[in-house]
Amino acid sequence: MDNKVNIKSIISALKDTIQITCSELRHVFKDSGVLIIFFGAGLFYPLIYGLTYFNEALHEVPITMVDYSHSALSRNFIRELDATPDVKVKYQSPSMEEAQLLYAQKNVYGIIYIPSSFSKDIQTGQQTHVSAYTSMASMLYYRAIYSAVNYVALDMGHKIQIKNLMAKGLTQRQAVVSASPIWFEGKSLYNPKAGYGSFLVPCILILVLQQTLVLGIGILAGTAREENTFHNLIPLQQKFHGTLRIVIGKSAAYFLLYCFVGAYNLLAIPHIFNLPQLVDFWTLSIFILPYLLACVFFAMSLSVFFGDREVVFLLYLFSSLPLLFMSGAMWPQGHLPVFWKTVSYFFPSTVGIQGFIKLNSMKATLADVSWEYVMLWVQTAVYFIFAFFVYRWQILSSEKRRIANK
Amino acid sequence: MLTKKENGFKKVVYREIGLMVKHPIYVIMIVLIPLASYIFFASLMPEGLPEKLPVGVIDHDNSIVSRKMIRQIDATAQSSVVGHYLNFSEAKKDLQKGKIYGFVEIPSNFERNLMSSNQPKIWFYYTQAFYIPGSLTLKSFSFMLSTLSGGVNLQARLLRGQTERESMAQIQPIAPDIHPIGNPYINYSVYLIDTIIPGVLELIILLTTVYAIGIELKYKTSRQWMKLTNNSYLKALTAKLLPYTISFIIMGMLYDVILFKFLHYPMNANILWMFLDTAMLVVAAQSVGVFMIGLMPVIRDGLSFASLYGVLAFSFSGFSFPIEGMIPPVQGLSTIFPLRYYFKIYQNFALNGLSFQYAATSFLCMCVFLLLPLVVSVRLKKALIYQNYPKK
Repeated sequence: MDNKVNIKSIISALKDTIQITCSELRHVFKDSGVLIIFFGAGLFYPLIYGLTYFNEALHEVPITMVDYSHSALSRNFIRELDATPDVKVKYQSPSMEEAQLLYAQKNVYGIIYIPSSFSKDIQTGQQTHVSAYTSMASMLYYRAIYSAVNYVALDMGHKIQIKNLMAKGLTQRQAVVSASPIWFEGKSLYNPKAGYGSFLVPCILILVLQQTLVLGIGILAGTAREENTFHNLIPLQQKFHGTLRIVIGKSAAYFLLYCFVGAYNLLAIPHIFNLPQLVDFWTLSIFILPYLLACVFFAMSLSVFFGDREVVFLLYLFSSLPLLFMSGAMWPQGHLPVFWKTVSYFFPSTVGIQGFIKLNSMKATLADVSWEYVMLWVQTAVYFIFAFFVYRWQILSSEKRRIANK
Repeated sequence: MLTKKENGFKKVVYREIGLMVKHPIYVIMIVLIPLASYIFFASLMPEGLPEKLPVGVIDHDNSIVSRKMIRQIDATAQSSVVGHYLNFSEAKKDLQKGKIYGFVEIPSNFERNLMSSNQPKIWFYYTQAFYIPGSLTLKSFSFMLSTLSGGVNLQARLLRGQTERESMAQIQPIAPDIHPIGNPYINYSVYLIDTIIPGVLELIILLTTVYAIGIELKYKTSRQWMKLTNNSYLKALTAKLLPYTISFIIMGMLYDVILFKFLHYPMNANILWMFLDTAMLVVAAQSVGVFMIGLMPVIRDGLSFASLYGVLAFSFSGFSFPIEGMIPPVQGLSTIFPLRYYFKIYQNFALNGLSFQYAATSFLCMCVFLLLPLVVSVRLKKALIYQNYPKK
């Protein structure tokens, strides 16, 4: 007998929950504001960022040469510089003044100066200097010009050294060894081409999921509050008072929708734009499950703080950039001030981005990101409990007002 | 007649100040959020360039020379040796876990091969999945290893009786001197924050403008506002937005003073140019805000649109990834963001210390944004007077 009742009540609870899920889904699809955020932003942003950083690296940065040496050696230097993928010798300026003019007019982002003593210095065994002036408007200009000039100067210098050593009677092998007693080479194991998009876009993909959920759920909660007379979160006509059913029912609706948005973001987009995708489907799914759940409950917990449906934009939108910085994607996480590091752990995106980069871009296993994985479940639990109490408080206070009003 | 006109303008200004005082959201938007973001970004990267990044070593040689080399890696400004590994896969595991950003593998017989002029080979590994720390680790390892190799070369030459000066000229015949213009210490904080903070301000201004006008439509108070100026669109609009213009320009100059005076970020021109740049950004962003609510005179659509647009401004200012490096169809998008021109003007004055003539085009482009409210004037005026758009 008892068993039957239990089963019956479970079935009725399940029915209620499913009904709430369906009604929340209807709300989403009837609200153009939410649709813009969930599907407009959720689907459009990844595309636009994928396109923006499609080229990955900056190549052929235009530079000008000021060659006061006018020698075979200096011309050779310029040729080798032009041959690097990083820079392009677009101009040859007769003087520094004219080079500066080209720089001021933004025709070039760097000036390379070869002194008149260049060739003579090299031939007489003196050290010669080549000066490179580089724009710092973007770190990528500096990076390109620095690596090109450094490479050519060292490479040419190396050849000169070997020639000089061989002139002194050393064999080629002896000369090479004394010029570089240690041979070394570096290898980038992940993101080997140092692609800017390959590093940045995966972080944005994860962040977009959280941010659009908070905005969308914030609008939905604001609308719900605005539409009933007492400006409360839960419409009174709702016949199910079980808070648990409401929280689970609503979160299931958001979760279902974001399974699609998430798959698009994390599976389709990396594929389309040729971004790193070293993680297998199941590992990714197991990792993303608590991330989406944590984001959903986090968004539901926050939604109570937004009075009008518009306010969520004003109060929350600006957080996107700080969150990207606090995730450790740009700035090494160990180097963040303790205060901001602590703040960052309130947001699922911080560990979400960390874990995703390691799995997706560095082929880590789930065991390697166990700390992030556990943190996501902890956040899921904490924000679920928080969302539960926030909703319960809303329902109770709306009930009280209804009774008081009678 | 003239006095009556002026009164209308004043009345709208007073009405707006009343609204700003009454609703805390305006204080939050104008003062609290900008201040919070200034504090956040100014305190985020105190070192400017991250130092002592965690790296690892695999020492197959375990000799005096290899141990000395490890100490030298640890002594560089950029790296700190936190992991000693027995083999490659162990070290790689910690790289994947994010515990280290790179590692050096010293082969067995390293010392012996070095002493017997057998040119030992060293490999080092790093990850660019974390872009900044990965690049710095690469730079640090290359520098350290070439210094080490050069040092051995130098010792040999000194033993052969060459002077140090002679030897250096032989080892490195061509020495590159790199001069980063306007940011000599390659400070990431300077490079990132000088554009991000104005970007955040632009975003806040956009949203506030759309909200302040949109809320009049939502609560159907716009007719009353327009009446104060006898339905003069431009007068009503400028009077309403003027208190925000002034407040945001003050907040903008505040960050200029914080960055260029207190934090001593590079400033190679008169700071007044940056004040002007900031003021232009404020007015241009307000104009874009008016344009957006004019295009879609429903507050939630206007805000959604402004949000989508405002967040993209950071990428399209071109400070992180230069516009010329993007694919051509995307490049054109950069022209529609005031932050792009703000950034160009900033670059011209603060970094490069150039004169006005090289920034004139950018100033002109900024001014074009001011025409945007005129483009939507008919549509927005109708919406404000007839309130004929849905409330939700």
